[in-house]
This record gives sequence, C-alpha cells and structure tokens, in this order.
Amino acid sequence: MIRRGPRPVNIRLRRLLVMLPWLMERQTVSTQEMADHFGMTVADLVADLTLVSMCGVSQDPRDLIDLWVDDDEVHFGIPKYFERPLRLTVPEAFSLIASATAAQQLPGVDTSGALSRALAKVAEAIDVDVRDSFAVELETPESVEVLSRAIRDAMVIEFDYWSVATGQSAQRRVAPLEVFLDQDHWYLRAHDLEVKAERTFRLDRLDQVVVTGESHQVVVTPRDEWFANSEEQRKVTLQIDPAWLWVLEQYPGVSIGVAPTGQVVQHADWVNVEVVANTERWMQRLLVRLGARAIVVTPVDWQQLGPDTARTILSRYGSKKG
Amino acid sequence: MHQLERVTNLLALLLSTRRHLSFEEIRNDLKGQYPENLVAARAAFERDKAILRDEGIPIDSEVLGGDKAGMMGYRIERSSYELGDLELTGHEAAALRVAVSAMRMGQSWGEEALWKVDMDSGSTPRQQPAVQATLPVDQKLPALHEAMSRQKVVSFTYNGRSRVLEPFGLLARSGWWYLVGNDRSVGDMRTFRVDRIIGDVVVAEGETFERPVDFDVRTSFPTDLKELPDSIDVGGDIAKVRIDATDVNHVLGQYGDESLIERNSDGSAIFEIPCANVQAFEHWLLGFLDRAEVLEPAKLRQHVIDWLTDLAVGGAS
Repeated sequence: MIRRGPRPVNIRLRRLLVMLPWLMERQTVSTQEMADHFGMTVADLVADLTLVSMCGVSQDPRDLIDLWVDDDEVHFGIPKYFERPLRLTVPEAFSLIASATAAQQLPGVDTSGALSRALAKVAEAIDVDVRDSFAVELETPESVEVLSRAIRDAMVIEFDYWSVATGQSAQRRVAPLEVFLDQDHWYLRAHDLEVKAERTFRLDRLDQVVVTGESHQVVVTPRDEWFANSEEQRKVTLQIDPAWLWVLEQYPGVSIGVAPTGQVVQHADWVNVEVVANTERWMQRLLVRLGARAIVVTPVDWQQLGPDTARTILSRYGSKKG
Repeated sequence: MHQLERVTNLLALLLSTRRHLSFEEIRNDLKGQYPENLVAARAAFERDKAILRDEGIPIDSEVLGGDKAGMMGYRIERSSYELGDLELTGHEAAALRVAVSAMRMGQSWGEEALWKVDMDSGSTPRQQPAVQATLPVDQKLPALHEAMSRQKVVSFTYNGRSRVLEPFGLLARSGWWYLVGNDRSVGDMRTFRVDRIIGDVVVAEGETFERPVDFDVRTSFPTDLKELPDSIDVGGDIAKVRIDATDVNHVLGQYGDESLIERNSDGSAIFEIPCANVQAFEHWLLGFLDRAEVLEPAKLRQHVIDWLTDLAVGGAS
C-alpha cells in the first residue's frame, strides 16, 4: 500500500459533502463499495465517516449527523443537514460541459441522443446557454469509427503505415487496443503481431485499413506514458529561450522538466529543459523548428545536430540561388 | 478539535440558521471549538470561511442591525447551496459517464461533477473506452467559461499588453483552446490562445455585455492556423512549396487535390499552402526537414533561409 501524507481538509470536506447525500439515498452500503465509488481507501473512508458522525450544530446527540459504521457496512439514519450535493463548482461545470460537448463527436458515443439530452439538462441546471459560443472540434477522421469497432470486436487489422523516418509505406498487422487523440493528432495503440510488441501509430499516416475476420486474445492494458513503447529513447537537455517553450508544448508526451543547472550557460535568461527524444529525426525536426532559440547541452554528440540539419536543408535552397 | 470537524459544524450551522448569525453567535453555538483568544478565534474563523468559499459554497454576508448594529452576519441559503435534481434517466447518466471517461482532461473535475449529478449510480466496474481524447486543460478555462456564459467582461495580459475583453466564445481546435471576443482595448474582434494568457483573469463582476445574435465561435476565425495572420509580412498569403515524392501523398491527405498545382517527372509535386501565419507555416514546413522547399513568395523563402542560417552558424540573433 502506498503511504501518503495527510489528506488536505478541503479535499476531505468536498468528498464528504457528496458522500453524505449519496449514502442517504442508499441507507446501508458496504464500506468497500463506497470507497471504490469515491476513489479512496476503506481506511480513509471509515476515518472520515467516523469523524463526521460527531458533527452537527451542537454536541447534543439529536443534532449529530446520524450515521454509523459497523463491520464492513455503513448505515445512515435520519437526514439532518446535507440532503443534496453542493451545486457544481465552476471547474466541475466546465469539465462536464466540455467533456460532453467533445464526446458528442466521437463515433458511437451519442447514437441514441442520450448524451445530448444529458448535456441539455446539465446546462439548464446550472443556467448556462452556450450554444454557438462554446465548441470543441475533434476533427475525427473516418478511420476512427472503423478502428474503434475493430477494438470492440477484438479483431486483427492490417494497414499500410507511412514512416516519417524512411518516407516509405510498409504493411503492418496488429491487434488494435485503443484509439486516442492527443493534442492535434489521432493515434492507434496496438500490439504489432510481427514484432510482437506494443506500438503507437499516427492515424494520418495510416492507409488502406482492412479488418480481417480473425479475432485476437491480446489483453488491453492501460496506456503507459506516451513514449514508453518507442524504439530508441534519449534524454536531451536543451537550453532554450523561454519565449519559445511553446514549440515544445506541441509535442505530445514530451516531459518538460528543469534540467540540472551548472551546465554551459550562453544566455543568462534562457532555461534548461529536459526532453525525451524517440528518434534522431524527431530531434532534428524539433531543433530546426526552434532554430537559433535553443541549444543542445547534452548528449554531446547531438550538440551539432541542429546546425548540421540546418545546413542540409539549406543546401537545397543554395542550389537554387546560385 | 480537527479543522475538518469544525468546518463541517460551521457549515451545518450556517445552512440550518434562518437568519444571519454574527461571529459571536457562531462562536457561542460552536462552543469550545474556536480558540479562547479573540484574535486567534477570528483568524481561525476566517480560515474556515476561506475553505468553504474555495469549495464553491456561497456564504451570504450582510451588515446586521438592531442590537448587533454594524456587525457582520453570515448564513448559507439552502437553495443556492444545493444542486437541484437533474432528473437524468439511466441512459443519460450512462452517456455522461462514458463522455467523462473518454475525455482525459488531466483533472478530476469531471469525475467529481459526475458524483453530484448522478446520485443513483453505484460503483460500476470501469471499462476502458475504445476511443479516448485528451482535451488540453488550463487552470484559467473554468473562469473564462463562467464569464462567457454569464456575459461578464474579463481582463488579462496577453503578448505583454493588458486587454479588456467581452468574451463571446471559447473553442478547442487542433489541441488548443481559443478565446474569441470583442477586445475593448482595440475596439475590434480578437482571438487569443488561452494558454498564452499571462497571469490571472480578472472578471468584472458588475458589468455585462450582449453577444451578437449571429455569433458562432466555430466560424469566428480561420480553421487553418496558417491562415491566421501574424505580424510577419512576407508579401503573400499563399506559398508555393515543392514536396519530395516520398511525402506527396501525406500532403495530399492534409490539403487535398485542389492544393496540388504541378507534378514533376521525379514524383515530387508543387503545392499551394496558406502562409498568412508565417510561424505556423514554418513549423509545418520544417517538419519535412530537407524533403520540402518553399519556392514563393521570395520574401518567405528568404525568411526560411535566414532562420536556418542563424541556426547553422550556431549563434542566436
């Protein structure tokens, strides 16, 4: 079990205010079920419920919140204070509306219109009308629907995949696990049946998808950190003009951490950041996009990668000029 | 006494009272829970109130009259505290659950909202949805969304300048959130990327505005960021770009047949690509490394050459 520090009062209060009306509707519920529902441990749950059973407008037993825990069940008595949950907070309302608005565009999610009706009820309850002023565009390519159906049916698929590294297409045969959108791009996470390992593919580089009639037994595992299955990884320390950090934000899965200081400093106001590069080509693209606004500190053998790449590209332009 | 216990008691008291209570009355009712020392008790009471307010609990305060004239009184109106019953059907609640689990927002806000609106659900085993999308989150978004839906004017700093904006719309596009509205500082419509807003967003509580009836955020600014002008002028909005044979199909997939203007015998092709936003254009172009070359406008071509030359000589400009 993971040991953690004390839980903050505000988080405990927030949970309690939604747990009490939930419990009131049920009267009796197992501590395990309740802990699972609210994403906490049974020990934390019991501690909070025990504490709250001593709360009320006075210490007169008739004023105390009427609940008790015995063995592995929680029982609720007479409702006194928190019969309904607290209204949605501003972040909760935003999150619910944004998720529902976005999910409406995912294939297969709102076929019956239930999500649209739910969204309308939420908007009405919190008294917002944001039609035409609030939108989430997911730009879902057609292949998402085909792939998600193949995932649900556990079907092996085949497709041509265009590789950035080689500029060529090759056929892949995979067990699809998950389709996801990260930043601006859609990806397919799959178990590649030829190389027998998990791989992540970009949907816009994938062509001629064929759902074979063959089913697979690959177990779907939760997604790791984005880069976990890439083939070569290197930790790179960059020194970068802070005004250009946004270029890094465009890369999904890039972890931007503060690198150890005390390394080469050429510009006093620049910051050191650490990124994980999955291929040399990926790094080349990042470096030419950053231009003279970044310098590679380590690894040493990549310190000239940016300038070298720039010269290679420039040679194209040079031949036209001369 | 644990602070959680005292805060819960305070909340129960303020919800139960029919009239506003002064701090003295509250201290009296919650006997022995606040420190003896008046200054310390006051400070503890302020901390408790701050916790409640930060949790979104609406504490109503007013200056009392009569024998407590001049003192501040507090209570919580039950109707503004409680969330009404949304009367979601089982299908509707299930659809919301799927929506929240399909959208990764890097925050637990959606999950916490679900607990409140869907009181009927038990702990159902969670199945990973086949399709998931990560929505970018920014701490400023909820406040902007709230200000926009309540038609309140906001002010913030962007690109080193302070702006006063009537927020008409909020749009997530291509992995970024955009805020669109009437910028009172320039008297015109402007688009802002939410993650580039510096510091806090201040909402002007008293003032509201009218959103134009025909406003639609989806059509309020160009879809392709390369069409959204920036401050660099290269003498044209459309660039001619030669793309190597290896990448022609990829660009056709992005821009369609109508963007292709010439095919060469070596398999390479020339495309017309929007470049009003030079920064976005160059970001796209450089992704091809040496497999693409911009031909026109000449000023844009020179801009790319200068950019690369700066990098090649290894010094910052």
